[in-house]
Amino acid sequence: MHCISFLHCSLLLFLLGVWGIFFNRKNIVVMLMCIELMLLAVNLNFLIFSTYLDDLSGQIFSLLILTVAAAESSIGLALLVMYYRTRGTISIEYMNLLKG
Amino acid sequence: MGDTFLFFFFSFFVLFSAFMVIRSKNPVYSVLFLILVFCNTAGLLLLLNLDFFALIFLIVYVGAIAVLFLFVVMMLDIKLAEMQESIFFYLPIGGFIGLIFFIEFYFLFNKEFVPLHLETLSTGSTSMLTLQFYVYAFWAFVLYGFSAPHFAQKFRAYSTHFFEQLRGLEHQAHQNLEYVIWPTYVDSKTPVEALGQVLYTYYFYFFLVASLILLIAMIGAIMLTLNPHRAVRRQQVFEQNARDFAKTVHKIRTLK
Repeated sequence: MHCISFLHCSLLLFLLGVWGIFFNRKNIVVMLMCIELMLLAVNLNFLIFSTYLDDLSGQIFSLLILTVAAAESSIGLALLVMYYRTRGTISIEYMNLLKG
Repeated sequence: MGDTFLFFFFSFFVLFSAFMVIRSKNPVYSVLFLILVFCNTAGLLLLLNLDFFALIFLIVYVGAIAVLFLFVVMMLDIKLAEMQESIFFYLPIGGFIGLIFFIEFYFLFNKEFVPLHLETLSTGSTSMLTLQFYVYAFWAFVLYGFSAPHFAQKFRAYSTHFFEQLRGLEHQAHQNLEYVIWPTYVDSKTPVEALGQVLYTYYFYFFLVASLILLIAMIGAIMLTLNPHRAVRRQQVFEQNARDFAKTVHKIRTLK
């Protein structure tokens, strides 16, 4: 199997994540999921290159990205719960009104 | 051949499920498709011989992150949002930017990351092969839709020429090369052992910073969601123990 095919797969996954953030202007949960997709694509890219270049540091960085992804999703969801408690909706159209 | 089939199977399902994550209206379905993306990514990692990372992805992504998403989506009372009118509003600019991004990386991959022994053989052919990959995948997708085993079978049937060409290239390349397989000369470690040695030796600052990030995330999540002002009924142990049973229960009157 060629490394280019794997790279194209991860590229398209990243692109789908970006498109999800572009197109989904209503639901912040789906936007968080799209961030997870983008992090997953980046992670996959690191792992593919670490395999094909036979270098272990890519896998180390993949572990670190995994940590950051977990932290990001937990804080993002906590913020989401806070926002829902404050406003009673998770629409992002009026998010700039959140103060205090 | 089985390897290639598995690759196309997993990558097709990764991309399809990622698309459905974006497109499905119900966030619960989005989370379930997100789980499918993670599982298929673990399959792709198994194809890359990264078994440890495949299992770590399953544990962390499916076991922690996706369950967290599912919990929040189920906990919040989310109305189903209509996204139909906004998709056409943002489609031109998003599609344009995405297309530029894709084309850029397409040519970058075909220029920079083609292995040397393939590039010296034939300069244009790998680019054509990548194009063929997309054409075949798209054609099989258009004809046979989403039914997966059928799709993979037909894709294989359509692209036998592609695989034959690729195998011919590899064969030609290996005839001209003389190489030493170094792993037979060194003693090997298991991947987890090697990873741990590198991580705890050269990258331990990164490791400490990662632990700090997790700690801060934990404290931040707790501090954000802890709400001290809301009235919570707690158990008052002393009051409960000091309560006199004889005074609490009164006999008002007897029923006749």
